[in-house]
Amino acid sequence: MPLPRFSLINYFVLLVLLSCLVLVIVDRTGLLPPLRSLTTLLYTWTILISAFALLLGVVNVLLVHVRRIQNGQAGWPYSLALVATLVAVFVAGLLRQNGMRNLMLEWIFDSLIAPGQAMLFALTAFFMAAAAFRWLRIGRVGGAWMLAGVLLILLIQMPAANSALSPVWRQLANWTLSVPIMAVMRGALLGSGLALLITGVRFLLNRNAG
Amino acid sequence: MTTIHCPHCGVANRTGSNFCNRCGTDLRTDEPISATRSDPALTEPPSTFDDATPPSSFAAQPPLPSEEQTPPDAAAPPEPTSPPAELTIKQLWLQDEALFAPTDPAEISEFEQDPVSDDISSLAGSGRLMTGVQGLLEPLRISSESGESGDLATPTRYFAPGIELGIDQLRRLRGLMTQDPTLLHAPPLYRPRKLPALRVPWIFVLLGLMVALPVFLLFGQPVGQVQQWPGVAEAHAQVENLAPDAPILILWAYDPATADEMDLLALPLVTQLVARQTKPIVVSLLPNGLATTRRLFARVTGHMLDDPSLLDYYIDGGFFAGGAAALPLLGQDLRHTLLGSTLGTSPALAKAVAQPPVLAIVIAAQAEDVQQWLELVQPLNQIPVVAFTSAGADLPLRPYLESGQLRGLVSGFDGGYTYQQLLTQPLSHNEETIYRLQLVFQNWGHLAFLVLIVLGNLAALLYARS
Repeated sequence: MPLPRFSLINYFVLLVLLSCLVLVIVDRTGLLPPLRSLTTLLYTWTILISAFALLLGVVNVLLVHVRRIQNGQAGWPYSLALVATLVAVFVAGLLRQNGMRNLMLEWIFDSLIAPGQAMLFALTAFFMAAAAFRWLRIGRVGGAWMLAGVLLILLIQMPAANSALSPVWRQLANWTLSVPIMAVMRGALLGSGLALLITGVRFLLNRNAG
Repeated sequence: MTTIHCPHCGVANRTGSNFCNRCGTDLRTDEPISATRSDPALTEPPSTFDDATPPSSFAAQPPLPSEEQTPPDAAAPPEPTSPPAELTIKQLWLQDEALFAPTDPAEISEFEQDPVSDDISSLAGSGRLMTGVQGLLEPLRISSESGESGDLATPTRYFAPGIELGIDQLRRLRGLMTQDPTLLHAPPLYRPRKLPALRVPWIFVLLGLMVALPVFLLFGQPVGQVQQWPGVAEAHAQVENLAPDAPILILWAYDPATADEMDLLALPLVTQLVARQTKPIVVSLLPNGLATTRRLFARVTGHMLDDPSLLDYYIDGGFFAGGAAALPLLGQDLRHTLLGSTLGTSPALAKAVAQPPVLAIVIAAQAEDVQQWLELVQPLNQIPVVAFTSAGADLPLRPYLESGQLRGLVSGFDGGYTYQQLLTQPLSHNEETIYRLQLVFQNWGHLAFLVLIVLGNLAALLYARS
């Protein structure tokens, strides 16, 4: 398959990316101490660009939902609620001199947003209960091993059972976490790190097709 | 600007694009795609069996139909030929595997119960789960093609944008097109399941009752002890051995959404820091992270939230926009970063950053925050790190503790409970009540899970015997 044509701006972006990459890598090695101020400047720019991108995203969301309200598309009341909330939070932030640290804004976060988020987190317990009922079955392929592991960790973490169990069980749970599960976790961390590195290099070299 | 059209969805993309902006189809091909797509004959559904070759996603699957299911008097369709890739339009009513689901009741029930396989097969038909470039300039659009109806008893098959048909509808459609009486008058494939009457809503009710009743009826007394995981005593020792004026840097990476769990971890730490008269610098990457800090310090010290003297106990280092991108700056040049981040730097902050911190504490609800600190900050400033995290973040962080990158790890309620028992300063009566209550929750919650697992296995056993 022939490679796609690369426009001039693609080359320019790639050049900037590679330059930044080389600068940061060389700086991390500590071979060129004067580079430190330059990389600090780059990191500062990254924060500025991120903040600008965040602002751009907010404007985009606002435009999309205002357009949806104007056209009366399906679900427009939700869009209206979103826009109203966005404006309310924005105005609340402007009302006081200390901006986002004022008590009104914190009240909005603590009394409106946080309970909603906490409610969604709390639903996790119910999803896990349904999953435990449906999937932790001894008859499934590999189910016995999984069930044994779950029961062991559940009993160890249940205070009443933990006190009643023999120390051997606690040691077994610790061993399970420290040896086989740790090996899997290390493998996963290493694998994901390598995958990230390779994906980044392939992306930079424009060879990101699978 | 020149464009090329996607062979899959027809959307115009900029020349040189690798993938379609809408559906992600690979656009790198030798042939002029727009020319083939512009042919109106190709956009019409083909009317003969020649176009019945399934898409590659289906062709890769083994065929499901059996000889008994194929009507004996139906005329055998001509041998399908392989059309070009542009002609593979989804016509599931022509595909046997989409029509002839398993007829064995056990298999049907398993299929009906299995949302995962339903999602996967539906995805295979749709070809995508998310559409569009999921970037900043375009809002995330999650496709509603699979699994959102919640009706597992009548799984749907997707064959054209916006149109979903059930298996029985597909069979009837094929019957109408082929005039096959066995398909036109066939009974529905899907029959009501015959599982025992334990259903998901009852699971939820059982879980809710087992956790809520012991607490609301106050017949639950704390029983037992939590498991003491490695890392807690080490974390406590790291803080306990600090000199009173030692500079500490704290990344406060949780906000009110996860405060119910994380406060149980942070409370003994803050109690210890206040008792030891340390004055940590607290920074956060979350907009409301520092509000949580203030609330917790006010809770420990007994001050009002808007009391300025709260800042005698810690230093507000500020909120950093940009997420993880801001972290290397903290490791590289803490003084410059903190002094440049706030308007009108306080004298306390200027004094605190005069010397580098001797300990970094990450209080985070997610493992990623700790990992990012260990990868982006710690290699730069070489400051020892102690982490306080949620129970879910424990497992990914254990390797860091084992390797020594983390000097201490306190996770979940177990860790918080063990940590507060190590304190030389007793907690207030109210705080101790909270911990005792949490023990009751933990006991009954775990018991509910054990009961559910047993019930699930019993249900499976009874169903298999019936």
